[in-house]
Amino acid sequence: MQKRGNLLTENIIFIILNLVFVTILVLFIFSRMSSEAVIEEKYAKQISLIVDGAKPVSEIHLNLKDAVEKANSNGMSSENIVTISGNKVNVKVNSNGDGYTYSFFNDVDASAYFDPTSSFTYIIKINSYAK
Amino acid sequence: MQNKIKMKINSKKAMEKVVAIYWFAILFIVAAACVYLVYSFYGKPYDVREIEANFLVNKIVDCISENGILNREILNSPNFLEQCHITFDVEEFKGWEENQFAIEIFVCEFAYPDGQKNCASKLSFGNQNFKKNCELMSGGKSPFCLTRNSYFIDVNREKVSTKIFVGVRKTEKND
Repeated sequence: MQKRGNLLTENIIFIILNLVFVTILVLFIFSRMSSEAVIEEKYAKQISLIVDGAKPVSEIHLNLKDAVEKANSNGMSSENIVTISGNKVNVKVNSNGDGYTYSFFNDVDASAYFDPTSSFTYIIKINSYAK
Repeated sequence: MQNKIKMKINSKKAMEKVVAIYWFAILFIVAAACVYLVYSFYGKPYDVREIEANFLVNKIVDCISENGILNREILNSPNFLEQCHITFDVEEFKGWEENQFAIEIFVCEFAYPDGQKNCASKLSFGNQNFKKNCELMSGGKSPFCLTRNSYFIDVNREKVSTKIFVGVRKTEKND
């Protein structure tokens, strides 16, 4: 009887250890997927490609849920995540970092601002050609 | 008899230990493989140069033609980039200057069956060294290059063909 009890405990410990191992792996993968650097690069490139493919006058609504959540968890306000200066898009989700910058070749006057009516949406506005 | 049973139990325990060591070795290999794959996938930047090059070709085609009619005046203009609203300014990064793009436009006679003959380079901007690199390899550590043929009619209603070459470097941020 004692032996059966030991066998059960050993198996349970073995299964728990395996589950802990798998959980750590999954957490690691998800932490890499939603890392600040990945989010910043993804949105900076996405926005610059949107601007490259757009013509004036247009307005694009883009959902930046994971970037907004990350920025808010870092104590950053949602309004300062995306900035466009000249033909460079900068996305920053941590106030301590420089963010990620990517340029677009479309010579337009573009601007980006947070949509106050929605929780996670940014509006990218292509106003006119730059020159 | 009792000794034999004891020996059997001992060898079974020893086997279990060996199996446990193998099991942990397998777990370690699986963990190492996962970490390696995740780092190799997320450690690399997203390569968007192909999309960028396609957008640039589309923009050039839109600029040099109107309703399918080739605008030869714009092809002879020294301010082609300004007129087409294209800028080669890039962010300051690892010594990047304004040499991350290349454009070359050829105007050809329309001919069957290949669609074009006697192509002549009409204008070129940016870093023309891309072409040599692209002949060796496109994408990855090399610039991404794209050549697209387009067909128009000119003002005299004659068929004209163009060959547009576009190169996008930005290697450090895309590979």
